[in-house]
Amino acid sequence: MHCDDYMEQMSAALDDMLTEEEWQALKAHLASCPSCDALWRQLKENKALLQETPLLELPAGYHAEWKAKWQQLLQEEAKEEPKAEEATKEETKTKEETGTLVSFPTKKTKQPWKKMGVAAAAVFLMAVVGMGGRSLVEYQKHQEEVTGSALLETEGATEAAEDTQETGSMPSVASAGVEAGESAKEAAPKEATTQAPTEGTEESAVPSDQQESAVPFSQAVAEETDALPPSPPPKGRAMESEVVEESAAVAEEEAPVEASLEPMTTAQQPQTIAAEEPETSAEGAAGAADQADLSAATNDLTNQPPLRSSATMAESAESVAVEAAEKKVLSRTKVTLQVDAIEETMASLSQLGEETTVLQEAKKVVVKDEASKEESLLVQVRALGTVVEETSADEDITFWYTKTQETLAAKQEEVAALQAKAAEAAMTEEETASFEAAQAEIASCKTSLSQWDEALGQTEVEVQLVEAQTP
Amino acid sequence: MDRDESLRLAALAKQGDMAAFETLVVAHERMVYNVIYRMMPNQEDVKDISQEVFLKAYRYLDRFDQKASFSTWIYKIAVNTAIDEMRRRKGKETISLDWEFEGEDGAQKKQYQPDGPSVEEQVLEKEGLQEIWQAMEKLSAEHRTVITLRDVEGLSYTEIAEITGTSLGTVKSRLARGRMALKDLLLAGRAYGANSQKQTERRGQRALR
Repeated sequence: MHCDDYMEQMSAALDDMLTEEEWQALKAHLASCPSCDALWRQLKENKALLQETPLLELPAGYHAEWKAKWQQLLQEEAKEEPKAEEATKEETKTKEETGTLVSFPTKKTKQPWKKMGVAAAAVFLMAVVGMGGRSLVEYQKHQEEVTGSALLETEGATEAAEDTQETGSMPSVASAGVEAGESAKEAAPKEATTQAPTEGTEESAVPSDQQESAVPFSQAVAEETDALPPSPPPKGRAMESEVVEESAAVAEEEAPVEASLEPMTTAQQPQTIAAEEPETSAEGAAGAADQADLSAATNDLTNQPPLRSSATMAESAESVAVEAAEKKVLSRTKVTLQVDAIEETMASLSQLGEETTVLQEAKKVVVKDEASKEESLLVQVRALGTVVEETSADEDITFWYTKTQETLAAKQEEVAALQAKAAEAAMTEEETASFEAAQAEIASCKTSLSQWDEALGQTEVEVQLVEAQTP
Repeated sequence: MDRDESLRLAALAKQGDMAAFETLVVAHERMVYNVIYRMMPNQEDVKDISQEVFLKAYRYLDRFDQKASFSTWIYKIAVNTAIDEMRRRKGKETISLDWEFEGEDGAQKKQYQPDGPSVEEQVLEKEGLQEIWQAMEKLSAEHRTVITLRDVEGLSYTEIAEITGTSLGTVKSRLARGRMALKDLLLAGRAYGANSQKQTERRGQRALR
């Protein structure tokens, strides 16, 4: 190792940062190298001096002055806080408006899903109800056929009434009514959805208990379609239905008297109401179909007395009771269907919820991935920053080291020049020596002069004495 | 103030306890003032800069993570503030290692010369202290920082590395180079002093002739 290699070791040794081996090696070198030993002593002396640097006292009023500055800072911060809050609010608002920071899932994204789900549930419900309604109609038809054939066979009103009471169907059915009912049951559902209401009303004008049995189902479809959440069926329509039902009930009560006098006049009233319905929208068509069905029902009720003109009041009462029982069954079916529809909707909504949860989980995973990526990027950036800093620090050290070395070289040159001048000064010392010698000579001369002076004085005294003695 | 107490006060200060923060300031202000004074010699605004250190500490108190000691953290702010300030002033003031003087033949020659007593002479009464601090003033900021933190403040290599934001190796290397540079500056100063004395003597001798 060269002397330069021991310089860092010496610095570390000053701070007790060397291992025992390193310290022994350094000690051996110092023992063998006088210049390094001198340097070591110098370094130790410098450190000892620096360690003795006394602590300066704080200037007078230092803390009070700082505290005043601090209070000022606190006041400024207190003033800035409301502004900062406003700015934050503004920023948040802007971000919300632009949609950049809105968390997943959003209302906006949920709504189309909901609507789609509800629409799907409605379609499904309609299909189910349509099928159910059809099967019920078919069941009714079957019952009618059975009853009709029984009537044809016996041709007895009393027996027919008994049969119908047993089967639960209307007692006033004739063979002509069966035919009309068949045509009406085929026409009524179609009219309710697609055909113009006028046709529906014309069809429904044919008196038939079959048509009456089909009416509640088409009505149920229309009502349930309208009643799907969140919009309830329009009040106006409900009120109209009530009015029609009331009028039907009145017609039923007045039937024995009025029907015998003017059966067609009363039957035409619902048709007029149905014909006034709008024809353009699907809702209007459905409403008109409902009206048509209701009018058919009313018509049927009003038309019953003429068909049963020979029946007794008791039979009429029984038929009303049977009709009421049937209506109960139908309303129960309606309720069941509504419950089914609601359950379907709930099921589709829960499915949507599950899908949303899955999507949210997926989103979380994506967000986590992004965060981890961002974090790793940050780590890389920090590492790069450290490298850059280290590099710049090294460059800085190199710069200062080079500069110090240059300065040192310059100083060494100057020292050499000074040494040369010192050598010149040595010649001057010789001169000084001769000068000093000359001065010594002068001093001795002076001494001898004074001695001479003294001697001369004595001589003069002696001369004076001789002159005095001489006559 | 010991480490645990300062950490406790720092935690309170972070929660908004002003009195706790002021206690920390009182405990560290003399130390910070001295560090700034040693790092920025010859500056009149040492007081302002050292006070700014505590204002910065208050502003960034929430960044103090309680892992390091509060003293190390405040040292770091002080050192960074001083270095930033010196860098900011670098373009405005030039610190030259050389000084021109009139030689025997009347020509301008370059020679190292301290700028005169900048460190409080009354404090540096001990023989050699004034001389060494005059040499310290001529050191680079990086070298002066590590030597001050190690030899004057007595901090460990690890603490210095944390304060200066460098590695242990860099601290070790800077200390070694800084100490060598300081030694050279001292020798140069002494050579100048000797030369100056001889010049005075020679002038006296000529006057006698």
